[in-house]
Amino acid sequence: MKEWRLQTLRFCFLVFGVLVVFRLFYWQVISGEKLQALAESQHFTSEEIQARRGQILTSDEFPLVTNRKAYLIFAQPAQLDMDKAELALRLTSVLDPQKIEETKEEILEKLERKDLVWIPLARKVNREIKEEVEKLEINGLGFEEEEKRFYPEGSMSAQMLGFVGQDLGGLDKGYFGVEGFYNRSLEGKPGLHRLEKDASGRPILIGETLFEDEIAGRDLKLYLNRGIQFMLEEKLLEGIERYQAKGGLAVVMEPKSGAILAMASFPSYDPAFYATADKSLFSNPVISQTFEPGSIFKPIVMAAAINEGVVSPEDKCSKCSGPRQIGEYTIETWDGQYHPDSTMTEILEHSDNVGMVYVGEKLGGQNLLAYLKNFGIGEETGIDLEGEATAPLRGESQWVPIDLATVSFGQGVAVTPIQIVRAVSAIANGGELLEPHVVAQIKTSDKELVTKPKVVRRVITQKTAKIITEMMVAAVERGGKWERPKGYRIAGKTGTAQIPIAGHYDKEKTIVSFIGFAPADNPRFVMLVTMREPALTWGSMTVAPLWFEISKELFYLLGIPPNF
Amino acid sequence: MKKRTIYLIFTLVFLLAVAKVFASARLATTGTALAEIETQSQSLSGQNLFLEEEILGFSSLVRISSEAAKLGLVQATKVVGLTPEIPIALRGSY
Repeated sequence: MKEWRLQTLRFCFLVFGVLVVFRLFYWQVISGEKLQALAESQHFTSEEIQARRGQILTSDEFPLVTNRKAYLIFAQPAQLDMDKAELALRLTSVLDPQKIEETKEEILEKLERKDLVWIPLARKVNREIKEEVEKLEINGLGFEEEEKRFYPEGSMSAQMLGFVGQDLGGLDKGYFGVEGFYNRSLEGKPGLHRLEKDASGRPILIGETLFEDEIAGRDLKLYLNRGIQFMLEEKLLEGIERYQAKGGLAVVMEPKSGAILAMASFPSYDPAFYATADKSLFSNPVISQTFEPGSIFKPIVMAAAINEGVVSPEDKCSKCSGPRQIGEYTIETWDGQYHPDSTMTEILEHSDNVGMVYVGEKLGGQNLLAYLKNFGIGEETGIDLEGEATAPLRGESQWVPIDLATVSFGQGVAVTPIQIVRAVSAIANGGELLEPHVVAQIKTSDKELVTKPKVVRRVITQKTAKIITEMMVAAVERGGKWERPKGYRIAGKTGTAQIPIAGHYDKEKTIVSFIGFAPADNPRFVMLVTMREPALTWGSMTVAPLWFEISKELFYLLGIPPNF
Repeated sequence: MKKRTIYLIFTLVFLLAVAKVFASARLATTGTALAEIETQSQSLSGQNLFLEEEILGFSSLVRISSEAAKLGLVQATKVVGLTPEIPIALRGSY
């Protein structure tokens, strides 16, 4: 009997031992990884540290775009103790009081989802709004810190900067302008903070820790001069209002380096509220909108003709005594006045279309096309902004005789404002075409990458550049009765281009422009100002006075003393 | 001699054990202090960011310009360019 009991006990121990071993095998081997992960999730707290997005600084190191703390508001439905419709209404009255019904419906739709235990309700909410929501004392609502873009200068140079939105995965991404072009440099790399915690969630000092530092996004320092940009935007807006134009733009570039000192366009938008802005305003017209340049194109055609040696400044036009008939078209001057035997300089002074047809014919279609390509017309300038577009030049085989005539005075060809600024900069820069640049330095914690001026090619000789400069100075001094800054030699040209609509030109709707550079002997800036559909249709009456008004301020801000 | 050594080892082990208990007790409460310091540090960083924001807002040209207008300041209408004085050594050549 005793033996039997002993045997039973032994068997029980054996079975128990086998069960224990089997269970241990199950825990250690079969479910080992799963249990280890579960234990780690209980012992450790992991937090992804978002990398700070790089700032965008002006040339005086003032942050035009920086970051501010914002909050994600989320709901945990299991903990909500309020009717969802009531909650949505209360939240909307704080988040978006102007669109209560619309926002309320949106929030309610999110709250009604049964498949989620954590529902994000609003992103990138300001501190003030977060405090207002906290005052509502709603159980089941929580906040998570995040960063959002902050614009200390408001909407200054919005279309050049672009904005930060979300990609399909809900992560921050830069769109348009500098934010879009330099998104990879600006965004940085997130870090990881892993810490062992005790039962109440507090960190254990001697526990296991892992710190993977985040890599902050790089700061970008622009060539943009804050004072000039501010002044340019103010003056441009005043000009648009004064001349009742539908819009306008202005660019200031340093001809010797290609540095963009200022760039403004209106109508514009506020990048802090891009979600509610008109999406058609996101693209920057300076780099993406093509237009027929009109007479501001004449110095480029004249430069080509002089460089090719087919005309010289004192040559006289033998076909300038009246309108020119080309096929079925009649080419006339803008004011109906004709100047027989005009010199080439006088053709630019009078902005004589008939004279420019003569120059174009002397140059020939093949040469004209080659020079336009050399001046960068029809090709992207390579500016470091996202969204550059261009209208390619038509091939020579597609040209008809009237094209040579109209292109000579800037109609029938499409350019972007930045292309024309770059082309005229080549004249100001002694004949060398440069790549325009917005960003001067890319800063990391330990080094600074500096962008250097990039010469694309030589377009005309230095001698031709000097001749054209003098002709443009004459066009300013004798081409109109403008109030110019005293003591400075300015080279420039006005332009009025009719807007093509449904196969013909609308005589009432024009784009008026003025492009010029100064001081003519040692150019420090090239500036283009254009206005779309002003009440007064001629550039000489609208945009030229505005150009001189702005240039007066520029001389002051750039510290350029008068010469005489 | 042998007995004395055993006694010494025992005392040492006992003292070390007591020290470990004290150290562990002390470290266990340090976690709370650490959490508090972290919260404080986060709060100060938050305040710092907020103050930076305020400084940027106050030093923006948009703000300065509107404040200047409120104070009745107007833009200079006449700017005089000054040329540097000619050094005495060079004046004789004139």
